[in-house]
Amino acid sequence: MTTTIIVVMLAGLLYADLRCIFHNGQKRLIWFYSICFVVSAVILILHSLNIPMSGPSQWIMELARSLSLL
Amino acid sequence: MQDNTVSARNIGCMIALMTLSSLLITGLGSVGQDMWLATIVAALIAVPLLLVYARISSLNRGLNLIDIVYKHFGSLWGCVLTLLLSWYALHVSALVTRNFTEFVSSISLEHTPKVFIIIGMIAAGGYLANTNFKVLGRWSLIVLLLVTINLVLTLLLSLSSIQISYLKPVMEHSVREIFSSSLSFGAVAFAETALALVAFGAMKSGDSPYKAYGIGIGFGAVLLVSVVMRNIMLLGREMISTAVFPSYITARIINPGTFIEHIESIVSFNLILLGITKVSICIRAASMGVAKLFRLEVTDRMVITPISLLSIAICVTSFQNMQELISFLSAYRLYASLFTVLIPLIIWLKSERN
Repeated sequence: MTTTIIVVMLAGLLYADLRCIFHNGQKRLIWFYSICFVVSAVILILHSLNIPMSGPSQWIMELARSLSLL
Repeated sequence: MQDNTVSARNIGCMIALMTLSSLLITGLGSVGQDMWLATIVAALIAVPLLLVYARISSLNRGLNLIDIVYKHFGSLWGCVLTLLLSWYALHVSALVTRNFTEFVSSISLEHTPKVFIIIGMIAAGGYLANTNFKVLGRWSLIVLLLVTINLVLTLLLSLSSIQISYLKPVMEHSVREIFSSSLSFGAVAFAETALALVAFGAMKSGDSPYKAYGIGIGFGAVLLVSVVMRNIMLLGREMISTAVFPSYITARIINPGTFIEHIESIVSFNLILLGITKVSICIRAASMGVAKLFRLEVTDRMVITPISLLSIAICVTSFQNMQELISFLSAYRLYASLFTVLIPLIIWLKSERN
């Protein structure tokens, strides 16, 4: 259920924004938007499928531990 | 022509809300009844830092943080610093959202998947970030007014239940422990206001950045210390050390009688407004950085949607629960010092030199 809602939301967002982005015509903006969208969509879908993932906060904590800063 | 300038008073309100937003709901206290002392020490430590932020803005009138970086460091180092600051803004937006998501999830929406609360909160923050700083400033003024009324009201209603003896023994914890706690408080409450420098580019030409930071830290620190003292005097040292959301628990204890019931629901709405404001400022800061970084020939508002999506993605992968978030604080204060102490100091020195 969660996955379905997320996919529908992402599709809606993509449809709404693509027209605006492509109308603007800047390649850099299109690339940036595409990368952000794909990365976020993959993370959100994996998360909704209960696949465990670590994020930047955990990496920072691990780094601080490995450098004996904590 | 539309006037998009914002007054120092309204920027001060934004800063005050940034100061209050995280610490007002979360306890983060390991020093029990000495937490009020730690909060005062944190505010005192923050004063020189905030003066540095104000000085940076004062030396670079009419420029926002990103423009200042590019002006003084050129394109290469400007890119590096902008990337770092944009990342920090994005990460803080995710952390604040996570904090409030845990709050909402704990108090009412226990079975709702957290991802929907996150999406809802960041969507509201992104929508607010999509406006100009004039609107954001007015919004901040109204929210600060609501929060102040709320705090004064709960303080007055709790007078009959307050136990001043709960503040004793004073300085039970060592100076080292209190100082360590105040550094953590300072990193979350005051140092994050460095991101508010992005709004100073839109400040009215006659207004002073010192006034903005003065209002911000003045209001923020006074309200924060009042809330911490109220919570300690109502909950006691054992409860304040273990409570994850002490302000909410305090509001539940307050019983104004049959005229108004369940005052905690009003309190929680106000707290969420604080969170949305801070998220919007962080998203706006990240968007301004990214737009400059990629030399996008559009307004920074065009990149708010992808930045909000990234913020959602970082937020869902952040922590499993509130305890993990609190334990992250010890690493966070080191991590944050790079973006809120080191980089601003470098920018300040470079601005003075030029």
